Amino acid sequence: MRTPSLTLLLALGACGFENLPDQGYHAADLPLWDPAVVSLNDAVYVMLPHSGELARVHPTEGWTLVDLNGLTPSRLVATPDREGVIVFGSYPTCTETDPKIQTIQDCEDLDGEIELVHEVALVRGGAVISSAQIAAHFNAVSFTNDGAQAALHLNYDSGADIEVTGVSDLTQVLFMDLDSGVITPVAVGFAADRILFNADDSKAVVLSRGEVLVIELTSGNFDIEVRFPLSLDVDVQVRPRDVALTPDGTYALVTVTGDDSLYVLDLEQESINIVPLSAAPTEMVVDSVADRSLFVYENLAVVDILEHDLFEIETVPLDEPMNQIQSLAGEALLYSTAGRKDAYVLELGAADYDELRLENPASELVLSPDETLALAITRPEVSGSSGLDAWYDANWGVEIIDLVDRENLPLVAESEPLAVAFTAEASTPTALVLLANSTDLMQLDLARRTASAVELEAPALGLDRFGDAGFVIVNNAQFGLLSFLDPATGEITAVGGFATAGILQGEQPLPRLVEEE
Amino acid sequence: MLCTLFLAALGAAQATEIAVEHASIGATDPAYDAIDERDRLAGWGLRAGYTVVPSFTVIGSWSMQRRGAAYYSPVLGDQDGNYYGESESATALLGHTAGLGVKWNVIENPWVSPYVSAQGLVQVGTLKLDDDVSRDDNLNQLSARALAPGFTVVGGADIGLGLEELPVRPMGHVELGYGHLAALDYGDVGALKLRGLVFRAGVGVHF
Repeated sequence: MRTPSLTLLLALGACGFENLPDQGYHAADLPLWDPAVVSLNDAVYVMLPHSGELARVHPTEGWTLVDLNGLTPSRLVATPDREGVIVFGSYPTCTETDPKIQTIQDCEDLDGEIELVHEVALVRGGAVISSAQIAAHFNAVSFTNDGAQAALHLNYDSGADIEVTGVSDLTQVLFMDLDSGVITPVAVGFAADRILFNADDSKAVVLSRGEVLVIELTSGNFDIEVRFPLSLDVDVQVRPRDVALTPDGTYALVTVTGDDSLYVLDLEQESINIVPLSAAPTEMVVDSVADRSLFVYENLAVVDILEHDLFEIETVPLDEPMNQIQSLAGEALLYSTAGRKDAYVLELGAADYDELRLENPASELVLSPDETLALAITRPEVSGSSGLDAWYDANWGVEIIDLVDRENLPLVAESEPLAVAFTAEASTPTALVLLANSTDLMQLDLARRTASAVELEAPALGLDRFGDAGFVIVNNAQFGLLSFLDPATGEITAVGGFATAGILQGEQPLPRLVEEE
Repeated sequence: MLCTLFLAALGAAQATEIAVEHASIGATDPAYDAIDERDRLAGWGLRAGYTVVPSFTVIGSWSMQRRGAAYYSPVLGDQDGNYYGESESATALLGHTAGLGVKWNVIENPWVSPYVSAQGLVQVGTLKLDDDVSRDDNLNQLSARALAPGFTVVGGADIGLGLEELPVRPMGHVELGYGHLAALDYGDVGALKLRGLVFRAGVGVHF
């Protein structure tokens, strides 16, 4: 009689997932994973805040952890060639050097204090290529056009607290060679927050508060060639808002916060020309085909077109103010994310446009790879209409904009579209639409105007390109889930569970004891 | 042969004992918090013994543990990094502990027989993780198994009712000591270190 009883007990002990014991609860302090993933050509990289790890997720190889030597990642930035990722992070050290101290708890027990050392690491192919200590406040990266160098700087747009370890020098920019990982600090003036590179990457244009600097990059010395003060009065603070280079790299165009002046910096003659615009611009785009720049304004229904020879402005009146510009190689698509429903396809050479009217205001717009189509995510609006118009106004939508025939087709979505993207199959233009709280990925056949659904394992949070022509869908699942889509076959490969790494978190070791000693 | 041995054992007075017991071992490892808010891993099982020579008993034991918790963590809700609440998942540890050792009854007494005992242990622990308990076919139903050797050293007492004359007599036991298991290693998921105070108590028969 004992055998069946034992079998029953053993069966209970090895039960499936339908009857797991539940005698309490546990609440983690940090999210297990961060859905702001970075998709590279080789894999997708995911930060795991709870465990302080970085996961590498691949559709066929599954997931592995990247050995960052104890570095807890806090920000990931993909390199332009999508072959590497720059990892910002930190690791803990103890102020006491007692050999008995192995963990954070040991440090605190022996009256030590935990200090964070900040570091940046370059990861390629799942391995750290190089790493270097940096000050805590560096949080943004700009890349040269060839992707060989990165400039690390502070981006204070978020208004977040700047973490200071000891004394931080906010006047520095760090230039990082992405092959060797060597970092060179360069003093560039207070709070440099925007860096551009000219076409051949021989110069960097750095915007800091009150001035613009040109740094030469060819000698390896990072010498400051020119310093353009934007104000001659030290009491007058001029804060650059945006900067762009003309296609030949000769001029830097600088817009200023709250000012209708455009600063045209001649990088060769080292002179400044101030061009009056119609107002303080909200968006500036340089079109290399037409060799012109465009400026739009939040509350002024015009677009300014600046030619780059004599820097003369041509002002084109519009019906509604626009605040966004998509460059279309000689043309531009103007639209608004501020509640306006007009959109304009502007021919820069002729200063003429075709006007489109969206059904609802746009919140996001994506161009197809061949720039013949655009998809706009439209949001609900307060309606003064009735009937079908009122119903339409109350719903999220996706609008297909044909940039060749200059017409648009509004589609209603069952929930908020989280992301839209075009597939690379040129023969059958197809768009992917992710809807909030839905396990369906919508595929829109833009030629036939038909839609089909691909079922996902879990509702989606985001969408990104993966590899040559694939996509990765970020799913809402606590233990981590990514769905890799092959658009050619419609096949989805889901990889999950990577966020369970470190879920059994014991005492936290101090990862670099040997290095400190 | 086995049958003969079994009958011979029955024939030897008070040579064999069998009991149902509650067994627990310390689990102060912070990693265990994800499974159980208590600091102990407890379960039920069986203990059997055979007295080889007077006062010395070979002891074998087996116990099974089923502990688990609802697991909450904040969720980064979208690619802008906004929190939007918490989601519920489940974590569980399904364990089996087998032990083999000896027990030495320091004093033989029909009422209370104090003893010391040591056992070598083998712990098998199956970790189960599920981030959507409402679905049977959830992709993130994850299972991992690990094995760890260890030992216990305890002091305790067999407790009888003075019914020494009966061929089969009810007995209880209670014991306390220290146990140490190597880490149950679940790879990248983490490891569990079960060690510390051991407590066992049970009821059964001696014959």
